Amino acid sequence: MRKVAVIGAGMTKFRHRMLETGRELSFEASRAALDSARMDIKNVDSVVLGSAPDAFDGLHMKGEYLLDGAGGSGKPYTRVYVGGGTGVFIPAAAWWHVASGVSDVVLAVGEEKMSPLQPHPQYAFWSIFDQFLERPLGVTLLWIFSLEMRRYMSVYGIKEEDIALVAVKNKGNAMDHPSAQLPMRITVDDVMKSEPICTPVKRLDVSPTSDGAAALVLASEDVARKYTDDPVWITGVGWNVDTTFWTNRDLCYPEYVEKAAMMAYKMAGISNPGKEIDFAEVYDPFDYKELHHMEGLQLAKRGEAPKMTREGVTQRDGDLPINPSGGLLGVGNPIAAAGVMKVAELFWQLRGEAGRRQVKKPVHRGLAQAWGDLMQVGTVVIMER
Amino acid sequence: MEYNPLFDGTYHLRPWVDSLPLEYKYSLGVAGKTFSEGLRRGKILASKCSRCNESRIPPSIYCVGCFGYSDGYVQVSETGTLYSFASRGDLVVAAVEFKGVKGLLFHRLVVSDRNKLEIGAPVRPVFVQEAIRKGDITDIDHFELAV
Ligand SMILES: [Zn+2]
Repeated sequence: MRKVAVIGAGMTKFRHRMLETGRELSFEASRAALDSARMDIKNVDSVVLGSAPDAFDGLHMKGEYLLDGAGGSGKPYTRVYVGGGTGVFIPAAAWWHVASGVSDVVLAVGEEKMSPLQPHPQYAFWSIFDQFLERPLGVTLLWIFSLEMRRYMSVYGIKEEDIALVAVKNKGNAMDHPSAQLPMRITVDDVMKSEPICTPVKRLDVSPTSDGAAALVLASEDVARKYTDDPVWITGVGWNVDTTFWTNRDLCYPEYVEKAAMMAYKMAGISNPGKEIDFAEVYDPFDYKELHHMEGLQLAKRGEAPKMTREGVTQRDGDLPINPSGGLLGVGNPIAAAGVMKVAELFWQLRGEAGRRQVKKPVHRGLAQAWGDLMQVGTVVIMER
Repeated sequence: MEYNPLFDGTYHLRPWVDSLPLEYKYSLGVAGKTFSEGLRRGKILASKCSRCNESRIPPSIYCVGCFGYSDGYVQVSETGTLYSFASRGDLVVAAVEFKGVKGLLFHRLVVSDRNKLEIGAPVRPVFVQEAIRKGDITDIDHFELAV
């Protein structure tokens, strides 16, 4: 396998509703990533694009629809899709294009425009539930996440206040992100008193729905060294998917995340992730999910991620900063774009270009993870400089 | 946006509304049909694999463990346990576990005193009257505490 570098990254602002179409958003992020790599579209051999359910847009063949905005016209072009896990899967799929020798330069684009669907983007998720067992009961994603959050709290004796600390941290971190949709200085009390959506889940436990796009430029070693003195390497990728029957797994521990992480750790030669990973962008569409995922990623022992959070370990100036970007809770959650934003944050942090978001300790190795669909997908990328 | 030379300096969205009427007629499938017939008779059926010595809900023609065909159906126990629950207003929803069966069943839960709810509590399905059952998941009206 060939070494694979990331040499550029770019993104649009994340907002509840954007004037730009999905194509225009894809273009703006792609153009910014190419500019940051000092490249043009003629340098790009192939394009990998990811976007989540077609139902948001009401456009069948969304991948093809977005093609020209993502720079894919007349090139080998692939749309990848693993639900909410898509964003981190995009660079993994782009990685295998370069690692295999198929392409020297790949543009990797994540796009999401959730706002078209009326009256609310959440309605798209009706169609992901089992048509016989679940839809007649009117189930929503928020209900099943509430079941999962309660199970997690109950098994380990975790308090809602400890979970709320994640929302406080991430929305606070997002104050320093120029693209952020929901940067906020809030307290645990604000989270606890926010509108109950489906107990135990409250308004401020949840990331917003968003429009946005983000993109990366991946290159082989020889190309990367021509364009930059400072390449960042992708040293591990992993993915794992379980059944859509969310009822058929442990709601307390994301085994599919563990398996995805183990695949990536093996590739990167990591045996002690808690010590060898310097910082991580962990998928946080809900505050409890950051904790859940830290445990699946072996960055915390089972049930102990809340304690690490309480002790400040996961703050930007802590020993293991988690979501220095501000995460989905703070920057926003345009699904596939949000995952790419996390990988872009690794790129900026590792190059020391994260500005006011830069974590305090020197960092050499970071991990990004996404999760999705019916609580069934784990995707992981590890980057090093 | 700021770098876009075509940006006209205003940010008014210009919406265009469209609606697509779509309707679907699904097949319950081989195992789903049996599960449906079970509900009509007031039973929750699991599929079993004797090679793996496992039963699963919802029933499936294949065993996820060994990827061979399942070899029959078994009725789950009359009483299950509460795996987790969530609530919104008057509505309580639950995931219910049955002894010796892999998989949970998602449904509504009706309780007189919500404060008494705890994970691990015994619960049982309450079926609607036989005459009005349709062979779908709402043949179970709700689950209740079995105490
Ligand atoms: Zn079997």
